[in-house]
Amino acid sequence: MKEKENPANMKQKSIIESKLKEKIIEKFDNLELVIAYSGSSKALRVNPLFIEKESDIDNIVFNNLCVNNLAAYAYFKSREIKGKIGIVLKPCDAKSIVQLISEQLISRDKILSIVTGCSGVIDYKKIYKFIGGLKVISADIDDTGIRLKTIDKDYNLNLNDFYADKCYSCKIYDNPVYSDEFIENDKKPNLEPVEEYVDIEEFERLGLKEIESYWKSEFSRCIRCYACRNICPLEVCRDRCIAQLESPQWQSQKINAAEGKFFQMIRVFHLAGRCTECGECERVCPANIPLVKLMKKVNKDILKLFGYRPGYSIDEKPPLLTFKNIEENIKEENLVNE
Amino acid sequence: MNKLITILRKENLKPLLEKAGKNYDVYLPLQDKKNGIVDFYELSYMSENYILNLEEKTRRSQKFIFFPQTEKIFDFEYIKDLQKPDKVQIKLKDKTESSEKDFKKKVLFGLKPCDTAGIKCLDLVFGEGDKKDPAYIQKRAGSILISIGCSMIYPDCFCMAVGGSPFNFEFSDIGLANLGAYFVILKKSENKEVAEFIKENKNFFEERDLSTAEETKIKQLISNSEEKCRLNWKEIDADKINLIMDKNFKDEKTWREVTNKCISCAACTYVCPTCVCFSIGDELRDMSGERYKCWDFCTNYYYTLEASGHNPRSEIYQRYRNKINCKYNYFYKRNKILYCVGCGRCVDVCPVGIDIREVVEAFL
Amino acid sequence: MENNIDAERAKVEKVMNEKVIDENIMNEVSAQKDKVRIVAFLCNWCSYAGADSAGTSRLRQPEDVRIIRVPCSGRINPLFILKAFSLGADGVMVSGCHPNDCHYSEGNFYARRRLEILKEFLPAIGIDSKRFVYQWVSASEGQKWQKVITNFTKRIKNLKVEGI
Repeated sequence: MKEKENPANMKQKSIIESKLKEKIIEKFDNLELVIAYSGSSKALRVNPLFIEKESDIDNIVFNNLCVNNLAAYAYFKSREIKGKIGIVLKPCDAKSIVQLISEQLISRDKILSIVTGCSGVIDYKKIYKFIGGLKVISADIDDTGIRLKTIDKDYNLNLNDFYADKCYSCKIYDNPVYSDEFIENDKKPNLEPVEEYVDIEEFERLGLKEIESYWKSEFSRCIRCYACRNICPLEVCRDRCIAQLESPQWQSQKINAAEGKFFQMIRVFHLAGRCTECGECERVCPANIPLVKLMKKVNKDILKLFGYRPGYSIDEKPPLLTFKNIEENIKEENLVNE
Repeated sequence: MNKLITILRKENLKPLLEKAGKNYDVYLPLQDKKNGIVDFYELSYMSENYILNLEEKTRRSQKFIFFPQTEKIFDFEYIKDLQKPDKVQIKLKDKTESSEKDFKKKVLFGLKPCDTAGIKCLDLVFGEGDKKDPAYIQKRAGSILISIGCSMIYPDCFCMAVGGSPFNFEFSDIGLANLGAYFVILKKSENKEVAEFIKENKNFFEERDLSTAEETKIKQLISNSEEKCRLNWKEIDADKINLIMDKNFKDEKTWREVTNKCISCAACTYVCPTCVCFSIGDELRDMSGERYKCWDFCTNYYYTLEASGHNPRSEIYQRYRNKINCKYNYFYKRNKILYCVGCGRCVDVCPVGIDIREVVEAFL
Repeated sequence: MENNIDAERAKVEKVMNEKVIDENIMNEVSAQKDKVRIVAFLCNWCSYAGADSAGTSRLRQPEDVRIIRVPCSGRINPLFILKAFSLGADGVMVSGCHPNDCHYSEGNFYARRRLEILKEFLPAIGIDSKRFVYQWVSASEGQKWQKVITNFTKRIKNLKVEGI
């Protein structure tokens, strides 16, 4: 309804957006489908756009609101479409493609990765929390900040306060790990870098009882909608998930905090050593449950034990698919002399 | 000649709810301060961490109060006979044997008119016709729905387009208008539960004459809200839309285009006030178990998966097409009311930004 | 004649039922005081045979353990352990062949990596990582099995007393 017009949302005309459009037009003859971002009728959001005709390329946008990870569609579309698919990716999203290729879930020549340099993305949930609700009618965003028009009053916000958590520890914003085409961004993120996994170390220092009651209260809101599983680029099992089977029954269909937590355990161990921490699962959760904490905890342990980061190399073998005769970092318990 | 109205002052609201809480189960919209989500909770949750919020739309609908997400149907037990070890008897324990002696009627305060239309849709499925659900009727019987007309219209509210309105109290028992310092009762049902409720709590209400200034203010409030809501989508002709949906059923290309983004999760289904699909499961541990009913979602791959392995709706566009037809076509043909109440919760919660208005527009 | 047989049968059954019930009650009563529930996943070729040899050598072991036999420690999905905890187990142990001696050559190498990750992860969801342990017990090490299971049960009982 309002998607065809460019809504009051995106007045930010940027150099990178025009360079991106040019690149896609250049490559379009070899591609059967291009997945990119477009404006949305909802304020502060962008939608995925599926381009099959050259005339649709003009609807593409690229700005600080592009938080979605379009690699979520890579696996399923690559099985549906016969020809080559082009996907617009930020450097963090390209890590998901790398992980998919290294696990041979998609083939390297099926996807044309068009990676753009990134100047950080806004987490709209932080803005909603700041203004206390979802009353935003329209948003104007440019280098000076965000101007929000809401139902009761208007706001003028500083971009810097609302970047997504993942942007603070990003080191690849202008130097992606993998790309078929790279488009440099004239802008750079404007934020204080934070050391990775600092929040996880803080979380680990809390007592066990506190952690248990924290998760109990968070998962009491889980309604088992499976949005977290379905949006993840690496959870390609969504039509065959063990959590929905009756025989063998891993998980009850009853909805309560314990079952919600167990479903996350299934996800954590399915993604151990594979999660690239894009944060989409937490963004899409309707109940605002902090899911990335659990994924980051496992990734931190795997980094410490095996020195492996998912999504950085196509050829390196994932740690859980291989082994060493003598593991330097694993100190086993000796129960005999306790 | 002056009209008589009943008003409820804001300062009397909490005492009224607390007194009602003794004889009824009271539910009201509270905002969780930790994450900002507004939802319906029982009265006992109201505290400094959960504050009353009557303006915001709740994240999910209130159908979980009458139609819980998981509900036990009965317990069963396998009993083995020592005399005949190859035979096993099943003993059923009906839930109502051991239940709710102190079952209280429910009062839902702070609903919006779209929510009450949703509850009406649930009534038509579970409470009427020749297949009634006794568990639903037990919860719904005698319950009082108190709704407040919307003065805040969100960009994704479109009740006017589907036959509702921000001040439509047709499906509420008591309809209030919020005039700042006090509420005015604009509608009161003529049944005995409402009369009893008002009589028990009559010292919180005041009756007086309606002044002309007040009357204009109320009319202004209503017309403002209706006008703002009308801008969000044009009116849908209920009689025609179901025929249009039938005609466009085979238009595979457009259906694939509009559902390209969908990731087939359950977010829109579980927050919708009128989605009623459920599944029944049996769970067994050792020799005893229970049978329960739980919400199901039609966008799921497993929804139509047959025991043979064949799946008639194996692709996402087929499942989403079924969902839209269910709302704008099949249920309309059955119950003569559109099963979309225009609350906009699906638009708000969708992870990829699918807007049901855009989907229906693609076929108009 | 026939009546006599039926009467006899009924009498025997009555006594049998009573005896069984009595024993169950006694077991429950003594078990209530100090009851912990420990689940042990043992690999078929080494650890299960080791536990067996501990039994045949009459070495005294705690009764709180429920043993589940798997073909190899590499068969263990970390979710087995998490499901055991969510169903109420107080402690879980996994035991397999010594590294380099796996009956299937490599199963326990993979198991070691997976189970170490699980062990580090448990505190993040509120379970003490001391409640889960993985050991290597071979088929001839009956005494080692006795020590391992006794020490683990003692550890779990102490943890229970601390009320975590």
